Amino acid sequence: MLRRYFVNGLLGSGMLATAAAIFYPILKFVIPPEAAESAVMSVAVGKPEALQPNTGTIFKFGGEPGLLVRTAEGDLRAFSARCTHLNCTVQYDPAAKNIVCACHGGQFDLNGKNVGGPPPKPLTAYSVNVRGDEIVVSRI
Amino acid sequence: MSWLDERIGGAALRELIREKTVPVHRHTIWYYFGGMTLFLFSIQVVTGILLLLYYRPTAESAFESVQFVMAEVQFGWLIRSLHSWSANLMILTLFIHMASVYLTRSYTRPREVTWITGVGLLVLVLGFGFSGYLLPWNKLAFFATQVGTQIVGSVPVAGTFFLRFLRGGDNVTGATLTRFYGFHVAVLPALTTALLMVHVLLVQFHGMSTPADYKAGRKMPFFPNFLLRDAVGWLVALGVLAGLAAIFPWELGEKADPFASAPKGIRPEWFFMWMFQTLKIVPAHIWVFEGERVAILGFGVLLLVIAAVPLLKVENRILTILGWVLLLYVFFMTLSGYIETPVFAAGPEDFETDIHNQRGITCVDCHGDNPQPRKTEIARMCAKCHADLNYMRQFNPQMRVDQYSEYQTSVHGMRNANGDENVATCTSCHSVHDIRSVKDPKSPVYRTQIAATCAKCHADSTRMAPYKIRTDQFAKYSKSVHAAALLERHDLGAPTCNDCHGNHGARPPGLESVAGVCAQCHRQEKDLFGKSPHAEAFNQLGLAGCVVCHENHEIKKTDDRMLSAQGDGICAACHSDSGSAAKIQTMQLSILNLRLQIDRTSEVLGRAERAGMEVSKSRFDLTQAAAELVKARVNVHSFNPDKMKEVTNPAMTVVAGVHKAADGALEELGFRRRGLGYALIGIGIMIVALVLKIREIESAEKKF
Repeated sequence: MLRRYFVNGLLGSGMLATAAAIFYPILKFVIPPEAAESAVMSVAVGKPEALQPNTGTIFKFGGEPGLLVRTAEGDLRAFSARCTHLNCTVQYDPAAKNIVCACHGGQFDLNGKNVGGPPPKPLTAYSVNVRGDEIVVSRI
Repeated sequence: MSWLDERIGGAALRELIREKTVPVHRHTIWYYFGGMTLFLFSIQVVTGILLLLYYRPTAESAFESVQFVMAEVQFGWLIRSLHSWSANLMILTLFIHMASVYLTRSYTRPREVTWITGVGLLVLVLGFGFSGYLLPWNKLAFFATQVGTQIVGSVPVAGTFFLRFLRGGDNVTGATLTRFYGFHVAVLPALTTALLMVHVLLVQFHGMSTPADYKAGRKMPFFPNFLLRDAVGWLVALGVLAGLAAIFPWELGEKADPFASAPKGIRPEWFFMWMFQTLKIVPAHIWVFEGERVAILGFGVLLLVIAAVPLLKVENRILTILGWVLLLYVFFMTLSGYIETPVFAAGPEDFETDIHNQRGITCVDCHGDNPQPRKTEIARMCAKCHADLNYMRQFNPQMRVDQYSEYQTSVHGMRNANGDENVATCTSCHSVHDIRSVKDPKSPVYRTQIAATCAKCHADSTRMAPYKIRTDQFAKYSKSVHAAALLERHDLGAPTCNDCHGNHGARPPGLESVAGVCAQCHRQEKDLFGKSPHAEAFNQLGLAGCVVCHENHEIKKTDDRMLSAQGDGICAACHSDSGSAAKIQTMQLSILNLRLQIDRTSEVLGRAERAGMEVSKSRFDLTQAAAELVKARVNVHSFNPDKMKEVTNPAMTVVAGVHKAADGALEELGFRRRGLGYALIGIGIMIVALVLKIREIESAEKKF
């Protein structure tokens, strides 16, 4: 009799433990996480007034770096920040008013065209729109 | 309860379960694999539905949504890994189930239809595997799908139709992904559910098959005896799956890029490997037919034969032998696929040799009535055509026509004009009768060949002696960072002789133009140097900019140790005072600290990555910090410690954040392992309890 109680008790607690091991992760999984999903087709990269003329900033676009430039004239332009030479991250050079790659000195103009150094092709350009008070960069 | 019983026929169902028995004999173990496959299928259904809550089936966002599940959703790593591992285990148990049914000849009358529905389920499950593989939209799956659908495209007669039907077009694109998603979550589940119901009902209807030597009598009740034993097997499978998911999370790889070249090691899933290997060994032609098409037709026929086995009038012994032959073949071919990793690589380009011959230019067009022109006549002879804009335009409107005029301004051209037949002329570099396009890798003036071509003369001391020119340039260049990039890594952007000296107008750069030559690539360094205190000092001392610290031909890969006024530091040559040494040391320490922190953090992050943790955001941030390190190294040319810190200080903050995130990922790894431990303890208790319960039930039955 005692053995039967023991086995039934063990079975009951085993079932409870197994059910907990199965349902706890499932319940946690269905609760949406705090973090927003990573943007892939378009991404908001901040407020227009935060980017001064003749400066550039790097942003995360999907899994890749992007470069947003506000030209000295005030235009906004965005490109993939992956140098077409060996994939280093390019940056805006305010002194030369163009885009440069620090790794091997690749140079791109403000249309993304390769104008100096080893890069074999232009940077991929993105389209930039200001929606409300946010800059939105989208793949073309 | 009775109300419900009356409406759903509960009493009849209970009666059916009570009466159902399972024969006991030496092959009883194989009965469990059908149930195990069904159990794993239900795990697929549950985890599949859960994944649907987050998955997005488009080429733009599929990869990111799976990445999101793995990185952000709580237990997302577990659900996705369970789905992937369980899929593979299910296919394995399905193969075992089918092989056992075949070898124990359980498909014979009256179970022919049960067998045929089983073969149908096998095809559907392989369809699940094939379509599901593509859904994360990673590189490996993308190219494997390309190859897989291409193979389907080789099916005789209807191949092109099937290829376009599967791909949703001519190529593997986002349309293929959407299609495969539709197949995976709607079409295949609907068909499988229907066929599975028929299969299970037929198993209930006919009961378990028994071997020929089975002596009637020994049997156990299906409920609870067999079902509890089944449950023990399921719990073991659950434990194994949890362990695999926690210790070897299913990796995500890199996002598919249709324009990238196929990665090394691309291969189909293991259950298609034997077919893939077979296609590799099939000869190109079998009689008048294409070998690949014959093999694919063979797979189709094999499937039909397997489905029709119960209807074939073949001796049992032969069927058993054939079954073993097929099993061993599949096993060894699968194994061979993992021993020798197939790699798809593009073959080398093979160009026509002589470009003039190719364009219809004959001997007379160049030589006229001069079969052996003197070396001093050659440049003029080539210029007849190559300096004629209208003539060259018919071959290539963008072709330059200033080579001859440039050549006349070069050291070579000027000496040649003075009657020196030892200096280089067109044919010295471009060859005589085997002239190829500059873009042809076999051309002596292709980028990777230029240094060796120049060295033919410039490394020859006898030839250079009359001109009193050094002959060590090529040897030195070969040891340079530029040669390593161009000749070893085949980086065609790296400079060779003509990038600094010019090609047709070749001459050494003067003292004042060295910095300008280097600045073709290193413009930032030149700008920073130009504004630094060094610029004026170098001018006054008559020093030629860049080459003072970096040499000219033997330009070494820069090293952070170079920035020092001590030991191997190149600053030591000029700076010995303590004030300069302190400034130099401050700059060096800024760089070394950042590098050290990046290396340490990368190591911790690498450990988390290797353990299968999803840390791509932290890796992104660390890569950006590494880009800042490169920028800091460029900023050395300002020779201003404060300007260096403007770059290194923010980067140090980023690296610290990444380090914290990497530590967090390792803590999460510990949490997973502990969670696995607790779950296994729970499952273990359940298994022990079930075994005790089975014994209790069976000993009670014996007493009666």
